[in-house]
Amino acid sequence: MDRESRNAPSVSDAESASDGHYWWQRLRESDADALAYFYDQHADWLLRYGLSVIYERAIVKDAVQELFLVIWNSRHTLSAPKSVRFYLMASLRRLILKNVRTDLRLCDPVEDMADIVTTDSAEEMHQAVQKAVRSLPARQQELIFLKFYQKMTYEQIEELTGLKYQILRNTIHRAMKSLRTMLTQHAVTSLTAVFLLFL
Amino acid sequence: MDYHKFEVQDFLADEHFTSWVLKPDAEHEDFWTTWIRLHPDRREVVQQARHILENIDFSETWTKTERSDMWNYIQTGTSKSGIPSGRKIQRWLRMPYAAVFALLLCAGGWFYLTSRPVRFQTPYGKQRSVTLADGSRITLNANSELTVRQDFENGAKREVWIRGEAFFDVAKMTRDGKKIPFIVHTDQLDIHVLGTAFNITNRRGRVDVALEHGSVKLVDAHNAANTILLEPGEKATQTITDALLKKEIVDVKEYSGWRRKVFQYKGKKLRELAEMIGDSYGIEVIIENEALKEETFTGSFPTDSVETFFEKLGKLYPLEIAKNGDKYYLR
Repeated sequence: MDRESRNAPSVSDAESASDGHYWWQRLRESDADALAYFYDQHADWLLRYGLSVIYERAIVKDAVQELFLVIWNSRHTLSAPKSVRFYLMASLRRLILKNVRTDLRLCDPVEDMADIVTTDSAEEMHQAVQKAVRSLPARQQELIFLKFYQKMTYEQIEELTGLKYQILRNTIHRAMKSLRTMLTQHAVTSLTAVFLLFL
Repeated sequence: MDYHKFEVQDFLADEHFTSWVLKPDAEHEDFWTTWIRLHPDRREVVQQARHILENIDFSETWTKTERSDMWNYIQTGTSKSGIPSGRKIQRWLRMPYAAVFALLLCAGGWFYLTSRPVRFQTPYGKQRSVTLADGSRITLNANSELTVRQDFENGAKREVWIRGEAFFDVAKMTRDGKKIPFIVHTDQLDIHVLGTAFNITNRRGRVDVALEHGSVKLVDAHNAANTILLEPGEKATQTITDALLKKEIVDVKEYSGWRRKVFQYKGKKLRELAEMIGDSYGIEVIIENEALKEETFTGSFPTDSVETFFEKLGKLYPLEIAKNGDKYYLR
Protein backbone atom coordinates (compact mmCIF):
# COMPACT_ATOMS: atom_id res chain seq x y z
CA MET A 1 0.00 0.00 0.00
CA ASP A 2 1.49 3.23 -1.10
CA ARG A 3 -0.29 5.67 1.09
CA GLU A 4 2.73 7.60 2.29
CA SER A 5 4.52 9.62 -0.30
CA ARG A 6 7.99 11.00 0.02
CA ASN A 7 6.74 14.17 1.59
CA ALA A 8 5.47 12.29 4.55
CA PRO A 9 2.75 13.79 6.69
CA SER A 10 3.68 15.11 10.11
CA VAL A 11 2.45 13.63 13.36
CA SER A 12 -0.68 15.70 13.55
CA ASP A 13 -2.07 15.24 10.07
CA ALA A 14 -0.99 11.64 9.59
CA GLU A 15 -4.60 10.60 9.94
CA SER A 16 -7.69 12.55 10.66
CA ALA A 17 -8.08 12.88 14.41
CA SER A 18 -11.74 11.95 14.28
CA ASP A 19 -11.01 8.63 12.55
CA GLY A 20 -8.36 7.91 15.14
CA HIS A 21 -10.71 8.62 18.01
CA TYR A 22 -13.53 6.68 16.48
CA TRP A 23 -11.38 3.56 16.06
CA TRP A 24 -9.74 4.01 19.44
CA GLN A 25 -13.18 3.91 21.04
CA ARG A 26 -13.97 0.74 19.14
CA LEU A 27 -10.68 -0.76 20.28
CA ARG A 28 -11.68 -0.13 23.88
CA GLU A 29 -14.92 -1.93 23.13
CA SER A 30 -12.85 -4.95 22.10
CA ASP A 31 -13.49 -4.61 18.38
CA ALA A 32 -10.72 -6.57 16.66
CA ASP A 33 -11.33 -4.54 13.50
CA ALA A 34 -9.98 -1.51 15.29
CA LEU A 35 -6.69 -3.25 15.93
CA ALA A 36 -6.59 -4.19 12.25
CA TYR A 37 -7.27 -0.59 11.34
CA PHE A 38 -4.35 0.72 13.37
CA TYR A 39 -2.09 -2.02 12.08
CA ASP A 40 -3.07 -1.18 8.53
CA GLN A 41 -2.51 2.53 9.01
CA HIS A 42 0.75 2.45 10.91
CA ALA A 43 2.68 -0.78 10.22
CA ASP A 44 4.95 0.66 7.52
CA TRP A 45 5.50 3.86 9.43
CA LEU A 46 6.52 1.89 12.50
CA LEU A 47 8.97 -0.10 10.39
CA ARG A 48 10.64 3.08 9.19
CA TYR A 49 10.82 4.56 12.63
CA GLY A 50 11.84 1.25 14.20
CA LEU A 51 14.69 0.85 11.73
CA SER A 52 15.93 4.28 12.63
CA VAL A 53 16.00 3.29 16.30
CA ILE A 54 17.78 0.05 15.48
CA TYR A 55 18.70 -0.97 11.98
CA GLU A 56 17.73 -4.60 12.39
CA ARG A 57 14.55 -5.72 10.71
CA ALA A 58 13.95 -8.83 12.84
CA ILE A 59 14.07 -6.82 16.06
CA VAL A 60 11.68 -4.21 14.70
CA LYS A 61 9.35 -6.97 13.55
CA ASP A 62 9.26 -8.56 17.01
CA ALA A 63 8.70 -5.20 18.62
CA VAL A 64 5.83 -4.23 16.30
CA GLN A 65 4.09 -7.54 16.98
CA GLU A 66 4.60 -7.13 20.68
CA LEU A 67 3.32 -3.56 20.51
CA PHE A 68 0.00 -4.59 18.98
CA LEU A 69 -0.44 -7.43 21.47
CA VAL A 70 0.28 -5.08 24.35
CA ILE A 71 -2.26 -2.59 23.05
CA TRP A 72 -4.88 -5.29 22.69
CA ASN A 73 -4.22 -6.69 26.15
CA SER A 74 -4.46 -3.33 27.84
CA ARG A 75 -7.26 -1.92 25.67
CA HIS A 76 -9.66 -1.52 28.60
CA THR A 77 -7.32 0.72 30.54
CA LEU A 78 -5.85 2.81 27.72
CA SER A 79 -7.02 6.37 27.43
CA ALA A 80 -7.31 7.91 23.98
CA PRO A 81 -3.98 9.46 22.97
CA LYS A 82 -3.78 12.90 21.36
CA SER A 83 -2.11 11.34 18.36
CA VAL A 84 -2.28 7.60 17.83
CA ARG A 85 0.83 7.65 15.69
CA PHE A 86 2.84 9.49 18.31
CA TYR A 87 1.62 7.07 20.94
CA LEU A 88 2.56 4.05 18.83
CA MET A 89 5.99 5.46 18.08
CA ALA A 90 6.73 6.19 21.72
CA SER A 91 5.60 2.70 22.73
CA LEU A 92 7.56 1.01 19.97
CA ARG A 93 10.66 2.90 21.00
CA ARG A 94 10.29 1.71 24.60
CA LEU A 95 9.81 -1.89 23.50
CA ILE A 96 12.81 -1.87 21.20
CA LEU A 97 15.13 -0.32 23.73
CA LYS A 98 13.90 -2.74 26.38
CA ASN A 99 14.60 -5.73 24.17
CA VAL A 100 17.89 -4.67 22.73
CA ARG A 101 21.15 -5.17 24.52
CA THR A 102 23.01 -1.98 25.23
CA ASP A 103 26.05 -2.92 23.21
CA LEU A 104 23.95 -3.50 20.14
CA ARG A 105 22.25 -0.19 20.55
CA LEU A 106 25.41 1.82 20.87
CA CYS A 107 27.61 0.13 18.32
CA ASP A 108 28.89 2.35 15.58
CA PRO A 109 28.38 1.92 11.86
CA VAL A 110 30.05 -0.97 10.12
CA GLU A 111 29.14 0.23 6.67
CA ASP A 112 32.00 0.66 4.24
CA MET A 113 31.74 4.20 3.04
CA ALA A 114 34.01 3.87 0.03
CA ASP A 115 31.20 3.12 -2.40
CA ILE A 116 29.03 5.99 -1.37
CA VAL A 117 30.88 8.79 -3.05
CA THR A 118 30.24 9.29 -6.73
CA THR A 119 26.90 10.74 -7.64
CA ASP A 120 26.01 12.29 -10.91
CA SER A 121 22.29 11.95 -11.18
CA ALA A 122 19.49 13.03 -8.91
CA GLU A 123 18.49 9.40 -8.34
CA GLU A 124 22.02 8.42 -7.37
CA MET A 125 22.21 11.40 -5.07
CA HIS A 126 18.98 10.27 -3.47
CA GLN A 127 20.30 6.76 -2.95
CA ALA A 128 23.64 8.02 -1.71
CA VAL A 129 21.92 10.08 0.97
CA GLN A 130 19.82 7.07 2.09
CA LYS A 131 22.90 4.97 2.33
CA ALA A 132 24.83 7.59 4.21
CA VAL A 133 21.98 8.08 6.68
CA ARG A 134 21.73 4.35 7.29
CA SER A 135 25.42 4.16 8.08
CA LEU A 136 25.15 6.66 10.93
CA PRO A 137 24.92 5.58 14.58
CA ALA A 138 21.39 4.57 15.60
CA ARG A 139 20.65 7.58 17.77
CA GLN A 140 21.58 9.93 14.92
CA GLN A 141 19.42 8.03 12.45
CA GLU A 142 16.49 8.21 14.80
CA LEU A 143 16.81 11.97 15.22
CA ILE A 144 17.14 12.49 11.47
CA PHE A 145 13.99 10.46 10.98
CA LEU A 146 12.06 12.46 13.52
CA LYS A 147 13.37 15.87 12.57
CA PHE A 148 13.65 15.74 8.80
CA TYR A 149 11.31 12.97 7.71
CA GLN A 150 8.58 13.19 10.29
CA LYS A 151 9.20 16.96 10.56
CA MET A 152 8.70 17.07 14.29
CA THR A 153 9.68 20.09 16.34
CA TYR A 154 12.44 19.86 18.93
CA GLU A 155 9.77 20.00 21.65
CA GLN A 156 7.94 16.99 20.19
CA ILE A 157 11.20 15.06 19.93
CA GLU A 158 12.02 15.94 23.54
CA GLU A 159 8.66 14.54 24.56
CA LEU A 160 9.14 11.35 22.60
CA THR A 161 12.74 10.55 23.45
CA GLY A 162 13.22 12.30 26.78
CA LEU A 163 16.41 13.87 25.42
CA LYS A 164 17.13 17.52 26.14
CA TYR A 165 17.16 20.18 23.44
CA GLN A 166 20.92 20.76 23.63
CA ILE A 167 21.66 17.06 23.22
CA LEU A 168 19.23 16.78 20.33
CA ARG A 169 20.74 19.72 18.56
CA ASN A 170 24.32 18.55 19.09
CA THR A 171 23.50 15.04 17.89
CA ILE A 172 21.85 16.37 14.75
CA HIS A 173 24.78 18.66 14.16
CA ARG A 174 27.20 15.76 14.48
CA ALA A 175 25.05 13.61 12.20
CA MET A 176 24.91 16.30 9.57
CA LYS A 177 28.64 16.78 9.69
CA SER A 178 29.19 13.05 9.04
CA LEU A 179 26.63 13.09 6.26
CA ARG A 180 28.32 15.95 4.60
CA THR A 181 31.72 14.32 4.84
CA MET A 182 30.38 11.10 3.38
CA LEU A 183 28.71 12.83 0.48
CA THR A 184 31.97 14.28 -0.65
CA GLN A 185 32.49 17.82 -1.73
CA HIS A 186 32.97 16.72 -5.31
CA ALA A 187 29.79 14.69 -5.54
CA VAL A 188 27.49 17.30 -4.14
CA THR A 189 29.10 20.13 -6.04
CA SER A 190 28.69 18.48 -9.39
CA LEU A 191 25.02 18.01 -8.67
CA THR A 192 24.69 21.57 -7.44
CA ALA A 193 26.15 22.81 -10.70
CA VAL A 194 23.49 20.95 -12.60
CA PHE A 195 20.85 22.26 -10.25
CA LEU A 196 22.01 25.87 -10.63
CA LEU A 197 21.62 25.68 -14.39
CA PHE A 198 17.91 25.36 -13.87
CA LEU A 199 17.59 28.32 -11.53
CA MET B 1 22.70 34.46 13.76
CA ASP B 2 26.06 34.57 12.05
CA TYR B 3 24.78 32.69 9.04
CA HIS B 4 27.68 33.80 6.89
CA LYS B 5 30.01 31.69 9.05
CA PHE B 6 27.81 28.62 8.74
CA GLU B 7 29.03 25.41 7.16
CA VAL B 8 26.73 22.80 5.63
CA GLN B 9 26.22 20.95 8.93
CA ASP B 10 25.43 24.19 10.76
CA PHE B 11 22.67 25.00 8.31
CA LEU B 12 21.33 21.46 8.57
CA ALA B 13 21.07 21.69 12.35
CA ASP B 14 19.46 25.12 12.22
CA GLU B 15 15.72 25.12 12.77
CA HIS B 16 15.16 28.30 10.79
CA PHE B 17 16.97 26.95 7.77
CA THR B 18 15.42 23.47 7.85
CA SER B 19 11.93 24.92 8.20
CA TRP B 20 12.50 26.83 5.00
CA VAL B 21 13.36 23.65 3.11
CA LEU B 22 10.89 21.29 4.75
CA LYS B 23 7.85 23.46 5.42
CA PRO B 24 8.29 26.46 3.16
CA ASP B 25 6.21 29.57 3.81
CA ALA B 26 6.37 33.15 2.58
CA GLU B 27 8.28 34.45 5.58
CA HIS B 28 11.10 31.90 5.34
CA GLU B 29 11.17 32.17 1.57
CA ASP B 30 11.67 35.95 1.79
CA PHE B 31 14.36 35.71 4.38
CA TRP B 32 16.43 33.06 2.68
CA THR B 33 16.20 34.27 -0.91
CA THR B 34 17.26 37.71 0.30
CA TRP B 35 20.03 36.26 2.41
CA ILE B 36 21.39 34.21 -0.48
CA ARG B 37 21.32 37.25 -2.74
CA LEU B 38 23.30 39.23 -0.18
CA HIS B 39 25.82 36.44 0.36
CA PRO B 40 26.62 35.04 -3.09
CA ASP B 41 29.78 33.38 -1.77
CA ARG B 42 27.67 31.19 0.58
CA ARG B 43 25.22 30.19 -2.10
CA GLU B 44 26.88 26.89 -2.79
CA VAL B 45 27.04 25.91 0.86
CA VAL B 46 23.32 26.62 1.16
CA GLN B 47 22.60 24.54 -1.94
CA GLN B 48 24.57 21.60 -0.57
CA ALA B 49 22.69 21.72 2.69
CA ARG B 50 19.42 22.00 0.84
CA HIS B 51 20.24 19.03 -1.32
CA ILE B 52 21.07 16.75 1.55
CA LEU B 53 17.90 17.73 3.34
CA GLU B 54 15.69 17.23 0.33
CA ASN B 55 17.11 13.79 -0.23
CA ILE B 56 16.59 12.46 3.25
CA ASP B 57 14.00 9.74 2.92
CA PHE B 58 12.91 6.62 4.70
CA SER B 59 11.05 4.39 2.33
CA GLU B 60 11.17 0.89 3.81
CA THR B 61 7.92 -1.04 3.74
CA TRP B 62 7.00 -4.49 5.00
CA THR B 63 6.74 -7.08 2.28
CA LYS B 64 3.31 -8.62 1.76
CA THR B 65 4.48 -11.82 3.45
CA GLU B 66 5.96 -10.03 6.45
CA ARG B 67 2.84 -7.96 6.83
CA SER B 68 0.50 -10.94 6.84
CA ASP B 69 2.86 -13.09 8.97
CA MET B 70 2.96 -10.40 11.60
CA TRP B 71 -0.77 -9.90 11.51
CA ASN B 72 -1.38 -13.64 11.83
CA TYR B 73 0.93 -13.70 14.80
CA ILE B 74 -0.89 -10.78 16.42
CA GLN B 75 -4.26 -12.35 15.77
CA THR B 76 -3.15 -15.66 17.28
CA GLY B 77 -2.12 -13.71 20.35
CA THR B 78 -5.32 -11.72 20.64
CA SER B 79 -7.71 -14.60 20.10
CA LYS B 80 -6.40 -16.58 23.06
CA SER B 81 -7.99 -16.15 26.46
CA GLY B 82 -5.57 -15.43 29.27
CA ILE B 83 -2.96 -14.14 26.89
CA PRO B 84 0.60 -14.31 28.12
CA SER B 85 2.68 -11.19 27.69
CA GLY B 86 4.05 -10.56 24.24
CA ARG B 87 7.53 -11.22 25.46
CA LYS B 88 6.76 -14.72 26.58
CA ILE B 89 5.15 -15.48 23.25
CA GLN B 90 8.23 -14.27 21.48
CA ARG B 91 10.59 -16.58 23.36
CA TRP B 92 8.18 -19.41 22.93
CA LEU B 93 8.00 -18.85 19.21
CA ARG B 94 11.72 -18.78 18.82
CA MET B 95 11.87 -22.43 19.88
CA PRO B 96 12.30 -24.71 16.88
CA TYR B 97 9.53 -27.08 18.03
CA ALA B 98 7.12 -24.24 18.12
CA ALA B 99 8.13 -23.19 14.65
CA VAL B 100 7.55 -26.67 13.26
CA PHE B 101 4.27 -26.93 15.10
CA ALA B 102 3.13 -23.56 13.81
CA LEU B 103 4.09 -24.58 10.30
CA LEU B 104 2.06 -27.77 10.53
CA LEU B 105 -0.86 -25.87 11.94
CA CYS B 106 -0.71 -23.38 9.11
CA ALA B 107 -0.47 -26.12 6.51
CA GLY B 108 -3.40 -27.96 8.05
CA GLY B 109 -5.44 -24.81 8.23
CA TRP B 110 -4.56 -23.98 4.68
CA PHE B 111 -5.79 -27.32 3.33
CA TYR B 112 -8.94 -27.03 5.38
CA LEU B 113 -9.68 -23.50 4.31
CA THR B 114 -8.84 -23.72 0.63
CA SER B 115 -11.65 -26.17 0.10
CA ARG B 116 -14.48 -23.63 0.08
CA PRO B 117 -15.17 -19.93 -0.57
CA VAL B 118 -15.44 -17.62 2.42
CA ARG B 119 -18.66 -15.74 3.00
CA PHE B 120 -19.06 -12.70 5.23
CA GLN B 121 -22.59 -11.62 6.11
CA THR B 122 -24.27 -8.89 8.11
CA PRO B 123 -27.78 -9.03 9.58
CA TYR B 124 -30.22 -6.11 9.54
CA GLY B 125 -28.98 -3.07 11.45
CA LYS B 126 -25.39 -4.32 11.84
CA GLN B 127 -22.11 -3.52 10.11
CA ARG B 128 -18.85 -5.36 9.93
CA SER B 129 -15.43 -4.85 8.42
CA VAL B 130 -13.18 -7.44 6.92
CA THR B 131 -9.50 -7.31 6.08
CA LEU B 132 -8.57 -9.59 3.22
CA ALA B 133 -5.26 -11.38 2.83
CA ASP B 134 -3.97 -8.72 0.44
CA GLY B 135 -4.59 -5.95 2.98
CA SER B 136 -7.76 -4.63 1.34
CA ARG B 137 -10.40 -3.51 3.80
CA ILE B 138 -14.08 -3.93 3.15
CA THR B 139 -16.82 -2.56 5.36
CA LEU B 140 -20.16 -4.27 4.94
CA ASN B 141 -23.31 -2.32 5.60
CA ALA B 142 -26.39 -3.95 7.10
CA ASN B 143 -28.05 -6.85 5.29
CA SER B 144 -25.13 -7.49 2.95
CA GLU B 145 -22.92 -10.35 1.88
CA LEU B 146 -19.36 -10.56 0.62
CA THR B 147 -18.00 -13.72 -0.96
CA VAL B 148 -14.27 -14.23 -1.40
CA ARG B 149 -12.63 -17.00 -3.32
CA GLN B 150 -10.30 -19.17 -1.24
CA ASP B 151 -7.14 -18.74 -3.29
CA PHE B 152 -8.07 -15.08 -3.49
CA GLU B 153 -4.61 -13.52 -3.28
CA ASN B 154 -2.78 -16.20 -5.28
CA GLY B 155 -4.51 -16.01 -8.64
CA ALA B 156 -3.87 -13.76 -11.62
CA LYS B 157 -6.74 -11.58 -10.40
CA ARG B 158 -8.40 -10.98 -7.06
CA GLU B 159 -12.15 -11.61 -7.27
CA VAL B 160 -14.94 -10.95 -4.81
CA TRP B 161 -18.74 -10.87 -5.02
CA ILE B 162 -21.00 -8.41 -3.28
CA ARG B 163 -24.69 -8.30 -2.52
CA GLY B 164 -26.10 -5.38 -0.55
CA GLU B 165 -23.85 -2.44 0.23
CA ALA B 166 -20.15 -2.17 1.02
CA PHE B 167 -17.29 0.27 1.11
CA PHE B 168 -14.06 -0.96 -0.48
CA ASP B 169 -10.57 0.27 0.32
CA VAL B 170 -8.49 -1.80 -2.04
CA ALA B 171 -4.77 -2.34 -1.50
CA LYS B 172 -2.45 -2.27 -4.46
CA MET B 173 -0.87 -5.61 -5.17
CA THR B 174 1.90 -6.59 -7.54
CA ARG B 175 3.52 -9.90 -8.27
CA ASP B 176 6.70 -10.19 -10.34
CA GLY B 177 6.28 -6.54 -11.23
CA LYS B 178 2.74 -7.07 -12.55
CA LYS B 179 -0.28 -5.41 -11.03
CA ILE B 180 -2.85 -7.89 -9.81
CA PRO B 181 -6.30 -6.46 -10.60
CA PHE B 182 -9.08 -6.53 -8.04
CA ILE B 183 -12.52 -7.29 -9.44
CA VAL B 184 -15.81 -6.85 -7.63
CA HIS B 185 -18.72 -8.73 -9.19
CA THR B 186 -22.28 -7.54 -8.76
CA ASP B 187 -25.47 -8.61 -10.46
CA GLN B 188 -25.17 -6.16 -13.33
CA LEU B 189 -21.61 -4.88 -13.14
CA ASP B 190 -18.02 -5.92 -12.77
CA ILE B 191 -15.83 -3.31 -11.16
CA HIS B 192 -12.15 -3.41 -12.08
CA VAL B 193 -9.98 -1.77 -9.50
CA LEU B 194 -6.37 -0.72 -9.12
CA GLY B 195 -5.93 0.43 -5.50
CA THR B 196 -8.75 2.74 -4.58
CA ALA B 197 -11.71 3.40 -2.27
CA PHE B 198 -15.35 3.32 -3.30
CA ASN B 199 -18.85 2.46 -2.21
CA ILE B 200 -21.06 -0.13 -3.88
CA THR B 201 -24.76 -0.70 -3.51
CA ASN B 202 -26.13 -3.79 -5.19
CA ARG B 203 -29.80 -4.00 -4.26
CA ARG B 204 -33.17 -4.23 -5.96
CA GLY B 205 -31.80 -4.77 -9.44
CA ARG B 206 -29.76 -1.61 -9.31
CA VAL B 207 -26.01 -1.10 -8.80
CA ASP B 208 -24.52 2.20 -7.60
CA VAL B 209 -20.79 2.76 -7.47
CA ALA B 210 -19.50 5.97 -5.85
CA LEU B 211 -15.76 6.58 -6.02
CA GLU B 212 -13.89 8.28 -3.17
CA HIS B 213 -10.35 8.20 -4.59
CA GLY B 214 -8.29 6.29 -7.14
CA SER B 215 -9.96 5.05 -10.29
CA VAL B 216 -12.15 2.15 -11.32
CA LYS B 217 -13.40 0.75 -14.58
CA LEU B 218 -16.94 -0.57 -14.71
CA VAL B 219 -17.85 -3.35 -17.09
CA ASP B 220 -21.40 -4.45 -17.82
CA ALA B 221 -21.64 -8.05 -16.64
CA HIS B 222 -23.73 -8.94 -19.69
CA ASN B 223 -22.02 -6.82 -22.31
CA ALA B 224 -18.26 -6.46 -22.01
CA ALA B 225 -18.24 -3.63 -24.55
CA ASN B 226 -20.32 -1.44 -22.26
CA THR B 227 -17.70 0.11 -19.97
CA ILE B 228 -17.13 3.36 -18.16
CA LEU B 229 -14.18 4.88 -16.29
CA LEU B 230 -15.05 6.52 -13.00
CA GLU B 231 -13.21 9.55 -11.55
CA PRO B 232 -13.13 10.47 -7.85
CA GLY B 233 -16.36 12.15 -6.77
CA GLU B 234 -18.39 10.43 -9.48
CA LYS B 235 -21.10 7.85 -9.14
CA ALA B 236 -22.23 5.39 -11.77
CA THR B 237 -25.52 3.56 -11.88
CA GLN B 238 -26.61 0.49 -13.75
CA THR B 239 -30.09 -0.95 -13.54
CA ILE B 240 -31.50 -4.10 -15.02
CA THR B 241 -33.64 -2.14 -17.45
CA ASP B 242 -31.15 0.48 -18.66
CA ALA B 243 -28.92 -0.50 -21.52
CA LEU B 244 -26.18 1.95 -20.73
CA LEU B 245 -24.15 2.94 -17.72
CA LYS B 246 -24.93 6.39 -16.42
CA LYS B 247 -22.56 8.56 -14.45
CA GLU B 248 -22.97 11.76 -12.46
CA ILE B 249 -21.04 13.90 -10.00
CA VAL B 250 -22.08 13.31 -6.41
CA ASP B 251 -21.06 13.96 -2.84
CA VAL B 252 -19.40 10.63 -2.14
CA LYS B 253 -19.73 11.13 1.63
CA GLU B 254 -23.43 10.67 1.16
CA TYR B 255 -22.74 7.17 -0.08
CA SER B 256 -20.09 6.09 2.40
CA GLY B 257 -21.13 7.99 5.55
CA TRP B 258 -22.75 4.87 6.96
CA ARG B 259 -19.27 3.53 7.69
CA ARG B 260 -18.89 6.17 10.38
CA LYS B 261 -22.25 5.13 11.74
CA VAL B 262 -23.89 8.17 10.25
CA PHE B 263 -26.24 8.40 7.31
CA GLN B 264 -25.71 11.74 5.68
CA TYR B 265 -27.89 13.11 2.92
CA LYS B 266 -28.26 16.22 0.86
CA GLY B 267 -31.50 16.67 -1.04
CA LYS B 268 -32.28 12.95 -1.10
CA LYS B 269 -35.74 12.02 -2.37
CA LEU B 270 -37.86 10.53 0.37
CA ARG B 271 -38.85 7.56 -1.75
CA GLU B 272 -35.15 6.67 -2.24
CA LEU B 273 -34.52 7.11 1.46
CA ALA B 274 -37.46 4.88 2.27
CA GLU B 275 -35.97 2.08 0.15
CA MET B 276 -32.53 2.50 1.62
CA ILE B 277 -33.80 2.45 5.18
CA GLY B 278 -35.96 -0.54 4.46
CA ASP B 279 -32.92 -2.44 3.14
CA SER B 280 -30.73 -1.54 6.09
CA TYR B 281 -33.11 -2.24 8.92
CA GLY B 282 -35.34 -4.92 7.48
CA ILE B 283 -38.40 -2.73 7.80
CA GLU B 284 -40.83 -1.44 5.22
CA VAL B 285 -41.41 2.26 4.82
CA ILE B 286 -44.60 3.04 2.97
CA ILE B 287 -45.21 6.59 1.82
CA GLU B 288 -48.93 6.92 1.24
CA ASN B 289 -48.82 10.44 -0.09
CA GLU B 290 -47.49 10.76 -3.67
CA ALA B 291 -46.33 14.36 -3.21
CA LEU B 292 -44.36 13.38 -0.14
CA LYS B 293 -42.38 10.81 -2.14
CA GLU B 294 -40.78 13.57 -4.16
CA GLU B 295 -39.91 15.70 -1.13
CA THR B 296 -36.22 15.81 -0.25
CA PHE B 297 -34.33 15.18 2.97
CA THR B 298 -31.12 16.97 3.95
CA GLY B 299 -29.41 16.02 7.17
CA SER B 300 -27.86 13.13 9.01
CA PHE B 301 -28.91 10.53 11.51
CA PRO B 302 -27.09 7.72 13.33
CA THR B 303 -27.17 4.36 11.57
CA ASP B 304 -27.99 2.48 14.74
CA SER B 305 -31.23 4.33 15.38
CA VAL B 306 -33.95 4.33 12.78
CA GLU B 307 -36.17 6.05 15.37
CA THR B 308 -34.01 9.17 15.24
CA PHE B 309 -34.61 9.37 11.52
CA PHE B 310 -38.37 9.21 11.90
CA GLU B 311 -38.26 11.80 14.69
CA LYS B 312 -36.30 14.20 12.47
CA LEU B 313 -38.62 13.56 9.59
CA GLY B 314 -41.64 14.30 11.78
CA LYS B 315 -40.18 17.68 12.66
CA LEU B 316 -39.34 18.58 9.06
CA TYR B 317 -42.61 17.69 7.38
CA PRO B 318 -46.22 17.95 8.43
CA LEU B 319 -46.73 14.22 8.43
CA GLU B 320 -48.04 11.47 10.57
CA ILE B 321 -45.99 8.35 11.24
CA ALA B 322 -47.79 5.16 12.05
CA LYS B 323 -46.07 1.93 12.97
CA ASN B 324 -47.47 -1.51 12.50
CA GLY B 325 -44.98 -4.31 13.23
CA ASP B 326 -42.17 -3.92 10.71
CA LYS B 327 -44.12 -1.45 8.63
CA TYR B 328 -43.90 2.32 8.95
CA TYR B 329 -46.57 4.41 7.24
CA LEU B 330 -45.92 8.04 6.37
CA ARG B 331 -49.00 10.02 5.56
